[in-house]
Amino acid sequence: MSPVASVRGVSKVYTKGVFRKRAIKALQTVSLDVPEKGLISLVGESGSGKTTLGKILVGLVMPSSGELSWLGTTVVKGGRITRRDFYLANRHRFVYVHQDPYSSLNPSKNVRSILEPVVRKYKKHLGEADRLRYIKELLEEVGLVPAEYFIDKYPHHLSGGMRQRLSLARALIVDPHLIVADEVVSMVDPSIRVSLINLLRSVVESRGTSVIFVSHDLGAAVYAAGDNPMYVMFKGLVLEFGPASEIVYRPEHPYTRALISNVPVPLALAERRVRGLDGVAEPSGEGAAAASPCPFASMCPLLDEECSSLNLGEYVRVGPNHYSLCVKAGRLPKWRPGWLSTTPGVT
Amino acid sequence: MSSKLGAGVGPEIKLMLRNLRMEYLVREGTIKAVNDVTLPVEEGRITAIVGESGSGKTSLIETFLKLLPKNARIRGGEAILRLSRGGEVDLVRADESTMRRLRGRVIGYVPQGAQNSLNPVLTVEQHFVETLKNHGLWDSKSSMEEVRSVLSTVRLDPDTVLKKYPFELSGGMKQRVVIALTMVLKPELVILDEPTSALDVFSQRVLLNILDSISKRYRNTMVLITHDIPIVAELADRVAVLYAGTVVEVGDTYEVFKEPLHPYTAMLIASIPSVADIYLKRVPRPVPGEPPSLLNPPPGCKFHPRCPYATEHCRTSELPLVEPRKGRLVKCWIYSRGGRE
Repeated sequence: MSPVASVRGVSKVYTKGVFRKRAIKALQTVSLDVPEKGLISLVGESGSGKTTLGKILVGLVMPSSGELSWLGTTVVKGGRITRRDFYLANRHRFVYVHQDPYSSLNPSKNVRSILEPVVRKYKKHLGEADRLRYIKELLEEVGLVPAEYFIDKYPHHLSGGMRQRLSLARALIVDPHLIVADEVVSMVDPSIRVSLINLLRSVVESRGTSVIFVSHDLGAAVYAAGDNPMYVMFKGLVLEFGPASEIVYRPEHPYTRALISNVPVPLALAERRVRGLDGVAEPSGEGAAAASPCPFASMCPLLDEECSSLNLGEYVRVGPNHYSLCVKAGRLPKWRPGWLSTTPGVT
Repeated sequence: MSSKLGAGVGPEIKLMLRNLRMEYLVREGTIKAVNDVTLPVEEGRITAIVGESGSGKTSLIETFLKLLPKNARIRGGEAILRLSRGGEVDLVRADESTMRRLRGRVIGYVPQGAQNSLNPVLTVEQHFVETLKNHGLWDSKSSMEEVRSVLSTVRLDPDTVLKKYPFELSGGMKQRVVIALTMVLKPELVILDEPTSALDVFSQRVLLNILDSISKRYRNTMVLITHDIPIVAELADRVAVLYAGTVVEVGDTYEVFKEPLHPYTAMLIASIPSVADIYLKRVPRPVPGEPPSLLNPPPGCKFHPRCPYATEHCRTSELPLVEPRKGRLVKCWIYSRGGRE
């Protein structure tokens, strides 16, 4: 069974300046498979390249180099489309849901007129009455119930979470192979983030659509992926990937370890105790750091001469389906997250 | 019922908000953004005000700082600020000239996104000189020493940073410059609105440590507004939970996280996905429903449409803020008159 979408060694370089001489490497040699009926998470800080990667996967951004395949067919190679017919016939089924539900919906249209043109275009066989029934079923599927109540509402009547549900409903009309959900929970109230993630998971379950959950929030990304793959990105590179629950329990890259240690966790601590920065060295751009191609080298506490031998395309296998881009992966010192020792009742 | 709360400002309360109400007048009606807020802010400690977007966190701050837009109306209540030189001021009744004297030197305020408010044509040093001069605190002999010391507290190297322009600094560094600009006036009360929201994980951790050391060094009272519950757990001594424009629970952070009393607080904490879940074998549970519109808030308790314990009483009558244990305030019927029906 071929993956829904996959990239092999994709890079994206943006050029800047009057003479286009300043190059910004947004993404470097990333390879990734989106499994059928799977949900995977991309996690990284701003500028890590996670949005660029998401957009490349749905064909919204052309990679500078590398290969993109959809359903086993190569559609983009070396910066140009190789199978234009296949690309045009399928691109509408690779959809992208945007971060900001306040600007991705037309404020002058109500729910019905936001969805109806899309239904008319992609569900041509439906007549007037069936179309309305279809829209109502769709609203129920994404949790906008009762559908009769929501169908004539305008976006300003809806909360951030409801708008995100509506955006998702619109994306589902095309029966997508793949939905890239880019930071869909970051502008939504904390108390309903989990229910939105649950909705994405149920879409994967019930429809067999694949979903890529893109987030800067490590907790949300881990919850969304569960035992499915998570890709940890930093400065345009995937530094570690594997089952999310396994990565959190047994991270095999110093960056992932530092990330997990430093993320604030909602635990009751008997006294106010702000943890110091853990697992991060004072940034230095000299010596071994300058010699290593690793993007985390300048801040890595484990940096030494060995790091200069790192090859950016070569991952070390550290477990079933678990890979790390650290030359020392598998030989890293024993580790526990910094906050664990302060947590009562956990061993 | 709330007679204890009405018993004047105690010795260790820096700021006492009592029954504060504020509305915005809009075309569609009135938005009750601050709806009967009672909140004691203890001196020398960090109090976090947490709430979801639209719960009125920023509106609450702007109400007692009197920084409201033209369509806002304060509908009652008081905000008693105790001054360290003695005496009290009710900020709600204070006129603009009093407020101008208080802002900066007594009350420092770092609004959300303040890092973008630095003047692009002034160096960091000029920002400090101008700020000190404007507040009549400039002294050519000693001020620069003080500025350097404050910059060190926010972990910036004075020698390199002072001569720089804002565009030469990263977002996290600009944020720290703004905090240093606030702290150089030595305010008794510092209010920070979402200080960590635009920062990456590492800069966020550095900032948490800086805020912690500022609080320990200056011993001032800090109010932190945030939607980020994990940050509250680490940094704040006290936490106030805001829902639909009203404070539903106040208490010591540890107590509130260990045993949340208001159903909303409990459900909110249980709903946050975290990396710790895997270790704690915990599964986050969503809060059903949606936060209410403040234009047409539900009658009675504002949380009742989402609350599993709601009774007929919750749907009809406004609830008082009660003190079920010392130092703990809860606005829930469960804790009035000795328990649930």
